[in-house]
Amino acid sequence: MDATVASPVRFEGLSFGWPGGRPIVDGLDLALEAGRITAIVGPSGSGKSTLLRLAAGLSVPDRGAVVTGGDGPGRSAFVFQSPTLLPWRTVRANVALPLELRGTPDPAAVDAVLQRVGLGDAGDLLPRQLSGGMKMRVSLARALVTAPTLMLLDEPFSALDALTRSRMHREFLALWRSAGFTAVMVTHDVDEAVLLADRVVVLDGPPLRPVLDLAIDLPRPRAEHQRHEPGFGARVEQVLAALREET
Amino acid sequence: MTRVAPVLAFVAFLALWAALATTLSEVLLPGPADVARAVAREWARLLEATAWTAAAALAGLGIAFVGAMTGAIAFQWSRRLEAALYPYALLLQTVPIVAIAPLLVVWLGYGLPVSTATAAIVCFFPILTGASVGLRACDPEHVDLLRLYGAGWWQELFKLRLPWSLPYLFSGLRTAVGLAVIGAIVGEFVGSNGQPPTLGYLVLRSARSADTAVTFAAIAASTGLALVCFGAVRLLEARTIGRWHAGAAP
Repeated sequence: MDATVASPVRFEGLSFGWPGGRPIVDGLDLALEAGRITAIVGPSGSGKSTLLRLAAGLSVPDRGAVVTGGDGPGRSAFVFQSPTLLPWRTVRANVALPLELRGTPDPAAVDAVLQRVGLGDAGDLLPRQLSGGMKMRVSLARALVTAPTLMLLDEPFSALDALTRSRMHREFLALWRSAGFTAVMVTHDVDEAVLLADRVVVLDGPPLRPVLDLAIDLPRPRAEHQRHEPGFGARVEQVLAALREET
Repeated sequence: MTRVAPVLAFVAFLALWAALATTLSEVLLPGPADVARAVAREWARLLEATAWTAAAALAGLGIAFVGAMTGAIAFQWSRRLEAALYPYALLLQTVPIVAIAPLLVVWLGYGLPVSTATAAIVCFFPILTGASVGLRACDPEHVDLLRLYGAGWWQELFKLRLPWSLPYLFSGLRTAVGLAVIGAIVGEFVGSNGQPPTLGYLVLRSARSADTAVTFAAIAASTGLALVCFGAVRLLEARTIGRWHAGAAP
């Protein structure tokens, strides 16, 4: 699979609410750079996941628009909090699903992406035979197989144990470096946000509004041991302070 | 011990039955040996009757399966259709099959069509319920996943909802297959004239002629038929979803 072209994302005057409820997003303007990882952090129930659904086209805004630079909605991929694998399909068949649905099956691309996430030998296994980390890698492979320009991730590593999460952080960064997609990741883990992202946006709500927009200019490649460095700690503290103020 | 216990219970049951049979006349309660002799004497007739009853039960199950799956998919397609029709499906379940059977004889005449119809009626609801619940049981995130990649209604049905519904459907089928045999025999009580011979007809005729040992043999054949059908569904379940669904292993 070749490196993809990254897509910028702009939320322009975006508004959304469930019928009869208060607005979850109300006139939000936010621009996210192409090829970067942006972490969205905020309290539970603030509407962060709704923002991702709007970006993916899974919900339709009441007003405003989500503008992506890709060539249509088909170029975005979504990684859910749970791996959302189909239990009756093998690893290979799960990864092939998006291509199958679009009518463009490509077994070679499926095998290539499986190799890339380190599951080259696991193609014939069923989800029930996989560990939590392997399931998440299949989920990432399924997102990558469409060569997305925009990757939307909703707390993708939150259900994993600490050791697996740390390994998945490294693997995700490696995939991002080689594929070059734009990533927007919702997370509750401030350390994770600072470790992975180029930019952390703290959103409060509903309705969603940015309360902190912080560039993370720590050098890459990043590694877990950087968590103990003063620069890392200072940025984590800045994000936590913004969250504390709002709650 | 868990495997031996049912065998011991069965042996105890036979002993108790044999002991009780010695205190009563053979017409009232034949002993296990009398029933075994009746089976040896009437095995050809029993086998033919079992085959015809099995045919009616399985045909009824097949008709109910097609009807219930069509209904469940239609309900998945339209909630309004479900709201309009589900109460009548429930009504079909609550009307006693014994009360409908004479009406079926009027409509369909004597023979297999009646017992097939009664089997289909009693099987319909458990399959409909299993399939309806199963088609709605998948996680919303899975639905989002398919929609994200542009899946339409039919793709969502075939790639996600139908496979997801299989464990629920098999649960309904396990209930339905036992009911199919019962439904067929009830239909035969009312709508069988012995052409072709059926278990229901054999039970009635042997009981009326005080040939109670044959009645017991026919009842045992009915139970055996229901068990074989149930086992076949369990086997099919294990073969189709056993690899990925833990509850399906026999």
